[in-house]
This record gives sequence, C-alpha cells and structure tokens, in this order.
Amino acid sequence: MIRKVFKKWVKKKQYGSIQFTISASFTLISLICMGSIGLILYSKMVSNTEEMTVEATGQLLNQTSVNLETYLRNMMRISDSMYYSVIKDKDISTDNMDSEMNLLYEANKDNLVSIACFKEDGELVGAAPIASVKGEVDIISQEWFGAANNQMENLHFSTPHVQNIFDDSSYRYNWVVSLSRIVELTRRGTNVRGVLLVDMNFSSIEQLFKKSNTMGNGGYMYLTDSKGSIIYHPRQKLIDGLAEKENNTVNAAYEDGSHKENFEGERRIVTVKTVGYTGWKIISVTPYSVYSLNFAQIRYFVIVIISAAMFILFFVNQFVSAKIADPIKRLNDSVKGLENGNLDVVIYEGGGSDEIQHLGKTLNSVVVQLRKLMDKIVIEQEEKRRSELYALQSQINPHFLYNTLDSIVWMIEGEMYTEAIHMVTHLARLFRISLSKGKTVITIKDEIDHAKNYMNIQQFRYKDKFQIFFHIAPEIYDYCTVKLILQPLLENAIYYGMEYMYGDGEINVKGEKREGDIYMSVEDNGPGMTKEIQGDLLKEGRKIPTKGSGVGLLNVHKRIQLRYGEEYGLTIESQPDEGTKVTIHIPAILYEDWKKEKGELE
Amino acid sequence: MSRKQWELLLAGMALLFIMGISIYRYTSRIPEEESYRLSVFSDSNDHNTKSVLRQGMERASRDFHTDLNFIMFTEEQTQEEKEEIIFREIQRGSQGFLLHLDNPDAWIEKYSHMLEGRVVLALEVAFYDQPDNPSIWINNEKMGYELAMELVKGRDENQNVVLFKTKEHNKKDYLRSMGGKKALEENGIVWEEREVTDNEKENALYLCFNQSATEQTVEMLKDKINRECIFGVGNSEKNVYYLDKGVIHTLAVPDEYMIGYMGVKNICDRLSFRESSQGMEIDYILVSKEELYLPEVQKRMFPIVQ
Repeated sequence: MIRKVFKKWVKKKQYGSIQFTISASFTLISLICMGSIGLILYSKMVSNTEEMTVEATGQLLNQTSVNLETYLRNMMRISDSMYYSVIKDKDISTDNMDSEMNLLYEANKDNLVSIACFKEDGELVGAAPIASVKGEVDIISQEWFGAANNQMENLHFSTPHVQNIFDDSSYRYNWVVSLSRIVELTRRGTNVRGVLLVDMNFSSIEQLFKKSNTMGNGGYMYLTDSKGSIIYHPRQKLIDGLAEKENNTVNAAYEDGSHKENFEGERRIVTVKTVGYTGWKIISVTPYSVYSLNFAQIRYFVIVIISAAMFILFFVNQFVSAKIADPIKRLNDSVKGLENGNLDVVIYEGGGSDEIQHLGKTLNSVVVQLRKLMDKIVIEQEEKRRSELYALQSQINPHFLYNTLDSIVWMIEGEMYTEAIHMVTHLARLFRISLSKGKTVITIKDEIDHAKNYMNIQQFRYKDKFQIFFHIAPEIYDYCTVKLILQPLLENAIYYGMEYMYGDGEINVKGEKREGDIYMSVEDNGPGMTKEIQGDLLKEGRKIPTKGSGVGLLNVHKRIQLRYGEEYGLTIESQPDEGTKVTIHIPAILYEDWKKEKGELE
Repeated sequence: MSRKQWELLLAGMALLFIMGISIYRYTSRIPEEESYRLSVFSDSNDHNTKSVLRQGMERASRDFHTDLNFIMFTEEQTQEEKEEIIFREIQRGSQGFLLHLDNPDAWIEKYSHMLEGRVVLALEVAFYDQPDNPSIWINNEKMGYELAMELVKGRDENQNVVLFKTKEHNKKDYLRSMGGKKALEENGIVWEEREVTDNEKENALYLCFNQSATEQTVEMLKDKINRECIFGVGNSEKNVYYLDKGVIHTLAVPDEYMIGYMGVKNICDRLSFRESSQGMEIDYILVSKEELYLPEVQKRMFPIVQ
C-alpha cells in the first residue's frame, strides 16, 4: 500500500525524472561525504585539541617539575655544602659551626628557614638563625629525624609542616619542608652519627605552584608525596574544610603521563609527573569543561563550513543535473511527437553532451529514413492498388467485346448497316469511357453514359427481351465514381435476370445522393436468387456456377472497397421469383475536388 | 525550474542557513558568568582573623567572579559618616553586604532603610532577630560552653575562675559567655566576671571569649604565671605562641577561612537565585598544647604560609 502511494506520488511529482535522479543521487552522496568529512574533521580537530592541551599541560608540568627539582637541588646543594664544607672539617667537641651556618643561612635565607645539626641522641650541635631548641621538644621523635636515620644513604624530604623545635620568641611559625640526612660528625677524632636538618621555606614551593597555576590553561596543578598526601593544592583550605574533594590518592598512583578520569561527575585529564629526589608527584588537572570551550568553537566552525559546502553543492548539483538532463528532456519531448505518429517532428540535436547530440542526429536521420520509407510504401501501395484495379478492370472488357463484334459482323453480313453503325458508335463511346485516358475514376455522368451505351448495345442483342429505365438524380452527375461499376451489374441483370423473360423483363437503374453518400442501384424483376447464393456472391473463392467471366460483382465490390474503403461497396437484395437489386454505395466526392487532390496520380 | 523559482529557492535556503547557524550559535554559547559587587563591613582589628577571613573571601570572589570592597568601621566614626560610607557603597553598585561586626543585628536595625533590595549576610553570628537574613555562624554558645568545660576538667578545687568581661554589644562574646557560664553553673563553679588586672592570683584560671581578650590576658600574665591558666579563643600568632609556651591551656579556633569563603558563596548563590541555605554553621576546634602540631590541627592553627 505504502509502495503504491509512494510510486503514485513519485510519478505525480515527476520525481522519477532523470534530473531528479541525478540531483538526488549527487545530493545524497554529497550529504554522506560532507557529513563524513565533517565528523572526521571534528574528531580530528577535537583529538588535536586534546593532544595540544595535553602537550601544553605536559610542557607546563615539565617546566614546573624542572623548577621544583632545581629548587630541591639547590637545597640539597646547601645541605651538601654544609656537610662537606663545614661539618666534615669540624670537630664538634672543640669547634663551633655557628658562623658557617649563619653565613650559609644568610646567603640562602630567601628560601631557608633554618639549618641545624644534631647528634644521634638529639642534642643540638649548631643551628641558624635560632641556635636554641625548645626544652620540651623530643628531637628524636621528630619525623624528619627518624626518616633520616632510616634512609642512611639518602636525603629525606618531609611533607610540609610547621617547624616547632626552635625557641623563637618572635611569634613566627613557618611552614617548612625539612631536608634531613645522616652525617658523620667528628668528636675527639672519632666519628659519630648525627642528623643535618635544612628547613626549606614552604612558601617558595607555594609561590612556584601559584605561578604555574596562573600560567595554566584553566586547569590547576598540585603536589603530593609518593603516597598521595597533598603537599600543595591551590584549594587546600577548602579541601581541609571539606567544602571540596580531590582525587589525590588515586592520581598519585597513576603512572607518569596523561590519564582521563571522571571525578565527582566531572570529566578531566590528569597528567602526572614524578619529581626526582623526593618521589613527589606533580599532578596537573584539566577539566573537560576548560578545553571543551574550544570544542564548541570547533563544532561551530565545522558545522558552518559543512553547511556552507552543502549549500553550495546543492545548487551546483541542481545546475549540473539540469545541464545534463535538459538536452535529454528536450530529446525526450521531441521524440514524444514521433511516438504519437507525427513523422514531421524535428528531433532535438542542439545541445548536451556528444552522446546526446549523436543520439539526436541519429534519431533525426532515422525519422528521415522512416519518412522516406513511409512515402515509398505509400507509393508502392498506391501502385499496387492501381495495378490491382487495372488488373480487375482488364478482366471485364474482352468477353463483351467479342460478343459485340460478333453482333456487328452478323449485322453487316445481314446488310443491317444502320444498326451496325449504331452498334459501332455505341461501342466506340463505350470504349472511350472505358479507357477514359487511363483514369480509374470518372464522373457519374460518364459512368451512366457508359451504362446507357452498354445497354443500347445489349438491347440490340437481346431484342425486346427487356426494358431498361434510368432514374438518375441529376445532382449526382458531377460526383465521381470508380469507372465500370454499373456495367457489370447490368451485365449480371441481363444474364441472370432477363434470361427467361419474354418482353416483360425490366431493369431499373437508379441513382441518388443520400446522407452524404451516393447510392446507385440496378434492379431487375428476374428470378432472383436464394439467400445462400446471395451471401456467397461477394465472397472470394466461392463455388457458384457463373456465366461469362464470373468476376463481375466481386470485381466491382473489390474495386469500390480498394478505392474508398471497406464501408463502401455493393449490397445485394434478392427474393426468388421476384427479382434482384444490387446497390452501389460510394462516398459523395465531387469529381473536381477529387481531381484537385489526386489529379496527376491518375 | 524557472530562473525566478531558482532565485527564490536560493534566497530561501540562504535565509534558512543563516537562521540555522544563528540558532545554533545562540543555543551553544556558554552563558556568561554573572559577576557581583559586594561590600564587606568589619569592625574587627584582629590582623590574623582579618587575614584568614579575607583569604577565604578573596578565594570565593575569584571562584564566583565577585568584586569585593573591604570597609572598616571604627568607633571614632559618627553615625553620619557610617551612613555616608554605606550610601557610597550602594552608589558603587554593591549588591550585597557581608557583616563581620560585633553586633550585626543592631547594624541591620540601624541601617535597614538603606538596605532595601540588597542581600545582607552576617559572619560568625546568627541573626536571631532578623530571620530572613542569612548568616554564616558559629555556635558561639556551645563553643563557650565547651571551652568552659575544658577549664572545669583541668581545674583544681582551690582555683578561682575569672571570666573576662565582655562588651555588652558584642553578640558573639555575649553568646560565648552565656555558654561558659552555663557550664560553670552546671558544675557548681563560682566565677568572677571582670577585666584582668596586674594583681592576679597565682592559682586563678581565666576564661576569655574573644581573641583580643585572650591576648590581653596573656600579656598581663605571661611573665607572672608559668602554668597553663588561660582558656581563650583565636589562633593569633601570639595566642598560638603562648599555647605552645604553656601559658594558654586551650584555644577555641573557628575556621575563619571557611567563614569567609562560605559567606561570599552564600551571597552569590542568593543573587544568582541558586539554591542556598538560610544559615550555615561552621565548626571550631579546641586545641591544647599537645595537639598543636598534629597535622590536621596545624592547618587550622597556622593558616598562613609566611
């Protein structure tokens, strides 16, 4: 049902036309191609943007890492300097290292909070700037002290904390990162273990990250230790106050590099880099919303470009398809005339591709050939018809001529010269009309005259056997008729109708115009014929005993039909013992009109 | 199709194209963040509190695209001068007021005629008389009560208790002292409510309900007493030092940073017609010397990186 409706709609809207097919196909293909290109372009640009974001983040991360490592290395250098340049050269039982410590502190006090050296038992050896520790503080229990002891070969970095071991009366408390290490102290020539503490100002690290975060691309960076405890976070206080959360423990467990994650319903890219010496992790977080701003612009750009391209392609499609289809349509329209039988149509061969032009030219030559063939066929048919007519006509004349000439001979032999002259005169007139200069169509007047001449001759031969009456409407004289159609009927009337008549035979010839056609009849009061004979008279191949040539009625009938068509011809009415009437039915065509139309063909 | 039809089709499609692009552009645009102007009125001279509170407010102002203007009210200013300041703020286009005042209720009452159409939010004190106005508040009465209970726990029978006299108009101090008194009453402890003098007894315990009172008490007693005898409020550097030194026994420390941050956030939520709470309680901690350097306590006690 749907297919029927669709087909009906397609047919109605001419959507089956070649132009629509070409246009729709090109448009669909363009749509698919442009859509695919758009999607690929968008995906590529999005992935490039992501890569660029990741790369930019990575670069910033690397830079921050380098800066942090530089800072840490600097601190390590201070620790090394203190150890290798001062502590190793001192004997703690006799020497004082306060001045060197102070010097080192002063040189680096932008980044340093304190330097201190302790014995293994926690006793202070020396410190700067504050050289005393709080009495109630247990140095050994400090995290940095224990860590240094556990990692004998390495430097240990603590997490940020407030340094509380020094007795500072200035109310100042500093957040520090403690760098501690085991050192070899010399006391009275023997080596004893100690711990060197360098407290770095955490504000330096904080400033470094604050600077990186302001340079960032909308995301942020934070620092954790190897276990994920936050060392620095731009929103530390909010996290501590439970107003916000961070996925620090999970992030710190990632391998170095970029990772996508979904945290608290927000998609983001997390890039991790491990800091050397400490095992700390710098973690950069870029929320999806930051770089998706670009996605919206990219999407907009792609949509605009693709839409504009589609827009242009649509019109190009229409133009190209019209250009292709138009000559085909014109060719098609011109061929339609041919389809309807109009051979005078001129096939379109003006434009379009070479193929269409060639097709048009070929069709045109075909039409011309067709016209010639048709004309030739018409001429051949006409010739054939004329030949048939001539052949038919030629069947009638000899038999009558022989008899008439016989009659003339016995008239002359009987010295009936006047009758002979009349006979020859009528015969001459008869043949004049018969020949009619080769025409097959003559006027009804001539045909009637011919019939009269024939009957005159026959009445000589069939003395008083019958009477002939002509009732011809004068108006029909100027109409045309096929020649020699009355005479065969009169011949039949004489041969079949008057044979057994003895003076009471009657033949009536009538002619009139009725309903636009001409009707001429030959009626006799002879013996008539049966219906069976009547029905077979006009059939070819009939087996009816005949006298004479036997072809009269059928010959006339065929000639009339050949000339005028099958709706015309003879009709026979007969009743046994009553008589026979044969009616000729031909169209009413004035001889002059016929001459104008056909003229020279005859 | 005729030429005219083509032209019409072209024009129609061009129009559709432009409309489509415009609609897409409009619907996919990122709405601009609203930005507001807020005024912060304070009468507190405490540097540390101001710094931490201010840090919180400034953090929130960056997060919520807000322009903050901090105004200090002093006792020397006349009523007219204060009204002039408020009027000037309103003229500047200030859409909300954050009050970090001793008695925000009284302030609201005095200047309500000027505040129409503006959101007013009090910090640290609940609005009891102005239920429609939001607050970011601490349960001061409970804080006073718990601080007093610390005193009760650490008190010997023969120790006197001195309550540092609070200013009557200071609402939060008043509430804290109410709480403190309740705790003492429940435990049958008699107290004196007065200012600290030079002639303090050795075995007294002192209950202070604000930072400056705590500092004053410390200043009076630091050289005379070498035991933990003060129960106070606030994490100023001085207070923390003497907590560490063993002069202050316990300090009650609210989260100033969160007070400041949440205050700005709450006002911005209201101005943007986002869901916001009428009031929000911020916690406090009670810190003794032993707990001072615990990692979680350090972050509250030492909020500023020097």
